[in-house]
Amino acid sequence: MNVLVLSVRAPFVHGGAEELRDHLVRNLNLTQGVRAASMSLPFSWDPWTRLPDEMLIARGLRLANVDRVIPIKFPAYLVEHAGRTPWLAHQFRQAYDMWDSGQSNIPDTLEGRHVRDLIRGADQEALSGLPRLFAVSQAAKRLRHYCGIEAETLSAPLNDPWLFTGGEAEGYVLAGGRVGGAKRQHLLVRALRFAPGVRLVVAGRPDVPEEGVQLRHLAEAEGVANRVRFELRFLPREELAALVNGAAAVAYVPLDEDSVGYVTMEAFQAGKPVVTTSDAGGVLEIVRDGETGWVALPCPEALGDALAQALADPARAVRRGRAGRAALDGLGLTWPHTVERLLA
Amino acid sequence: MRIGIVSAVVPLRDDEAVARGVALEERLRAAGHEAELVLLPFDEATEAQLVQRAAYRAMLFAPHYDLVVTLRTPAEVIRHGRKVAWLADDPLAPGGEGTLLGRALVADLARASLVGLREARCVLAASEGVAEGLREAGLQGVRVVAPGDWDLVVGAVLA
Repeated sequence: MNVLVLSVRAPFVHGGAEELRDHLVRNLNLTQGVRAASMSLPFSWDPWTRLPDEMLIARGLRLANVDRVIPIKFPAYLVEHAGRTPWLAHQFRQAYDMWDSGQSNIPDTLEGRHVRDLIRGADQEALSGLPRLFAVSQAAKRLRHYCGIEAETLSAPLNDPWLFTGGEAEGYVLAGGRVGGAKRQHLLVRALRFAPGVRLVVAGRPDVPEEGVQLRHLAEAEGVANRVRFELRFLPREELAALVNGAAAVAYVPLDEDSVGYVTMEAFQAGKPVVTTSDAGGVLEIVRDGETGWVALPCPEALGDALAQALADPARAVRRGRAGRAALDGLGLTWPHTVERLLA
Repeated sequence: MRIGIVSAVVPLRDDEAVARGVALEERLRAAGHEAELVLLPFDEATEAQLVQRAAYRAMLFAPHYDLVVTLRTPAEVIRHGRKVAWLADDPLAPGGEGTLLGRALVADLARASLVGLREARCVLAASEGVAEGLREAGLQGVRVVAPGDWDLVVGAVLA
């Protein structure tokens, strides 16, 4: 069986969705009788007036030599193919929940509403009545809420759990993951003012170089630069794992994440507690305040207090980290199971 | 410089274009540039090609890349102000057998490719045979740059 994993790309960005794509292909290729590859279509959502063109582009593409197509993002799942099995990491949220919360790049004008409705209509047509439809947790909930479409929830497993062995805490909080606006590392830097003595390591590649520059300037402006170590680059997995294994806690504060998130899974695999915020979306499925980590309000003061608590009592941090590991194990996320479901 | 290397690819089949693209990506990175390979799905069926060319043509590359290098046809139809086409096959070759309508479609496809190639600031051919075909179709200034001679390839792409 020839399988194509189809995604979309933001040029030179490598984040969770790209990890998901690459590891899905790798694990499909480990399956007997399966040959798999991936492609990522160029996708420009800015300006918003491009969006109808982007949908038409997806509809104009033709796929040959594949038996099964697994699209994981908008608008890749609009591509026509008889063996289409979407596993949704994302719809275009600016037409759904981010529209409702006023965070969409599409303006609330007559033209903007028209484009929003085009997206919703295309989604409805492309995702209704499919024999097989999967989505990560928050995407499945939104699909049900906004489109009335049921998808089987299928979360992405951790890709290299053997690297995250845990280890002695070395007195810092790690902020991992790619560095970009929605991941809100800036909130963590601001929080340091309210977390005396806490050291933060920010490790990940910025989506655009300016993000890194702005973070450094922010640390200077907040007077906390001497307590932040920036590793703003692509880190080899072994190097990243070493940082996780040596952390006292891991901080991950994305805005309304679609899934538990790789950063959370890596932390719990290593037995480290996670500090997050009450608006972090799918992260909250497994990070529970007082059990597996700390859940703070998304403001510097509250987050700073949580960071300080995470370092104040090492034994408590270890207990919460262990509880996180147990919670992760309880999800039973493995690649063989995921591949089996997708190819069923 | 941010460089996109773009190729049409029949999934799980077009190893030549992928291998050439990966090798070029590595060479451009070694030369200090940001480079990434962009593979676009492609169906060779004649009746599917016009709509695919339209889709490729509508894609937006300019804001994301300073330079694009197109490999396997019909990637040459993508729009970019600084485009280099490096062809291993001749997209302008006359169509073979078929109905009148089929031959007309093949001619239209070649015309679309010619428009894309004329927009390119540089057209490179991977062999003398391909270069000859392009010249016969009216394309001027085609240079032969064979895969493997990487200093020459990178120099021609960045010139």
